[in-house]
Amino acid sequence: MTTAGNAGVPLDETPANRTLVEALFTEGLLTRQAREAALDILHPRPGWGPWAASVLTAVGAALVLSGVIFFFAFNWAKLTPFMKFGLVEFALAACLTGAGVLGLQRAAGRMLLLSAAALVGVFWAVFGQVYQTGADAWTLFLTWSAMTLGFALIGDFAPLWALWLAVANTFLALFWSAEVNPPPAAETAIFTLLALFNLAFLGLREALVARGAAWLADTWTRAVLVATVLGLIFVPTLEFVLSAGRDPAALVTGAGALLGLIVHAGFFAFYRSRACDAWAVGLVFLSGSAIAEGALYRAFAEIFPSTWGGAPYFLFSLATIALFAGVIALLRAAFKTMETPLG
Amino acid sequence: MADECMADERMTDRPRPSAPPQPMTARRLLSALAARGLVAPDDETRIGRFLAEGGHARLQPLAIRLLLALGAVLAAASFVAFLGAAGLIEPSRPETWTVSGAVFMAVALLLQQAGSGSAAGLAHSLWLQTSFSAMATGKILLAAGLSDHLLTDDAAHFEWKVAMAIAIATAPVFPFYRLAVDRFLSVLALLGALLVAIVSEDWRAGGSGAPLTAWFIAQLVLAGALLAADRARSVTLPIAYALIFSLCAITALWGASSTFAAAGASAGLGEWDYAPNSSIGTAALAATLIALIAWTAGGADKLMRPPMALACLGAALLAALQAPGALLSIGLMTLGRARHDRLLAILGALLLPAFLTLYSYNLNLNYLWKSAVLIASGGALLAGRALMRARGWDAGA
Repeated sequence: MTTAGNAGVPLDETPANRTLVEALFTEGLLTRQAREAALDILHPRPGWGPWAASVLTAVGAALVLSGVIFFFAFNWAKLTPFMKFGLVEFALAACLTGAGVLGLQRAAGRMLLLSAAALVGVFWAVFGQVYQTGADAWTLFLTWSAMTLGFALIGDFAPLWALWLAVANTFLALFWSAEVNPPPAAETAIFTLLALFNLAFLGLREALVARGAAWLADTWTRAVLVATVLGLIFVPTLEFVLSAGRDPAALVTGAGALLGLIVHAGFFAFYRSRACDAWAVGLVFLSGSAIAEGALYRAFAEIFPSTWGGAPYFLFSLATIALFAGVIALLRAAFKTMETPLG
Repeated sequence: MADECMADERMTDRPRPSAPPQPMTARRLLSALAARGLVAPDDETRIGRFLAEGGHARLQPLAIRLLLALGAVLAAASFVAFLGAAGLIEPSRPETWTVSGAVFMAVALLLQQAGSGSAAGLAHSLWLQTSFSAMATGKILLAAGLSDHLLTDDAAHFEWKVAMAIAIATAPVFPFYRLAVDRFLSVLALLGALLVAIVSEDWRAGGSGAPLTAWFIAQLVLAGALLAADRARSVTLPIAYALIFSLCAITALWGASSTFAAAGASAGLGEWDYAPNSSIGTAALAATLIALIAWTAGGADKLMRPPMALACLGAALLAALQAPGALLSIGLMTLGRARHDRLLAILGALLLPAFLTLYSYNLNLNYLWKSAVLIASGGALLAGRALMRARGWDAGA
């Protein structure tokens, strides 16, 4: 039982987190050895062996796949269609067979399944090159995502889902551009639609993790999805803020901005109070600050139509400082009971 | 028996679902450290006093530093626009920039002093943001004014004069303005200016790459020394991070010089045939990675153990393949993991695919040989992975 005199209350009420440890180390109150021991207690990690094995597997597989693609590029003109399809299908079959033999419980098996999913895309690219049907690029991504959905469902492998989502998002964006061919006023609607699409998967991720899906529990899976949703919804929201009232696309950007408001508020509420994820809260504040700054700029541009000897710029500077100071104070208050990312 | 147990464990390498970590208080953590003899009773009293004074609340997490920097840049841009619109600075009179810059920097220092006693909250954030915005504005104005002064009579070697202006604008306040993000950005700006100056000078002299290599090795050594320093971390750490970013920039330049040449030519910037030799720099990176492996293993004598020897062989292979980007990013990942530094670990993980892409794109070989190199390299790594599994090295703590 530790005693620390009059400072007993702060010790009991102060959450131990990375920021605390770094602050104590910077102040010289913890030795380097104590710092590392404290961080090992707070964030236990697997040993160097599993880490090195993961790095070797990921980088090795990526290099081999890249080499295969370059081989195809070199020999493209010399290969007959039979050889082109044969090689890809052989590689695809080999990866699937290997995944089946090794089993999806092992990292090697999952990497082979991921490689197989990538090779499905290579196959359809070869198909499009050989037969020159004139089909749009979105058909390739549609077929690729449709055929690999099953892989993702059985794989229980977050990187495979990341690949699938990237392919699906690409399909949606290309389809929008080529087939929907929206009028200029509705061009930014794709950002709202993609944000909704990825938001659905983020919700699914949170629900599955809450039910015990450990394979999805890595923080990067949430960070990537949150960043993607915020990044996508940022565009229509900022556009609405900067041009509402004189924009023919106000209905479209307005819908995006409304979704943006709901997303920011919802993310803050959920990741601050329920999930206690400081990374996500930080991203929400960064995105929100940029949008608020845009609104501030618009307000000043409307109120002060001329330069007025520079006064609007000066006032805008002060307003910017006040805005960011307020946001930082709010964020610091939110971080108080959460683990803070990256120190 | 041990092999059977190992074999059973190897049937799956799925992470075992673990219970979510219980929230831990400072008291519980200190108790755990005290039980290991890492914290003395006197230390606990001092720590308690430090926490009661709210000292830990002043450390800036990364998200807050990013917001501080973003707000300061936006506010600084507006301040400069204000000064220009109000006629307080004029492009033809660099002394107006210099004087304005010095005034803003003085105001920033005063604001830092005035706000130093405020408790963490809105007031403290206001002091901090205002002070940093003023300092950012002041440094930009002062550096621009000094550059203009230095270039007025003689524009030769203008890159060095710009670097000198940045150094003069940032160095004097460095010991006094105690904000990590300001120190990081200031050092980064100076290193960036010096990099441009060194590259330009080297290119004009024929492009051997020797000055760049010497600069790279000097930064590598300095970064290592600063990261190892336990004292004055508020000073050493921002400088070390800035040096790491500079090292990444030089490594990218080595790996992508032909890409830059093509981009420059297509952008109408004329001939840019700067292709510095990176052999010595790559060897230095390999040596650094091997030293890092020795450090994490617990000493140079541990390098004779098979897993460490294999890792060192991998580093040597990357050096032989002239892949400085891969060496640097793996070094950052290793260092980040060893020091519990997530920023370095994530930086390394993000840079690795980027550098590998750059490497394979810029290999001066036809597609067939490129594919052979990539497949052979990947195969070697996967073979190493298989060896680890066969020997049970992938299951250790």
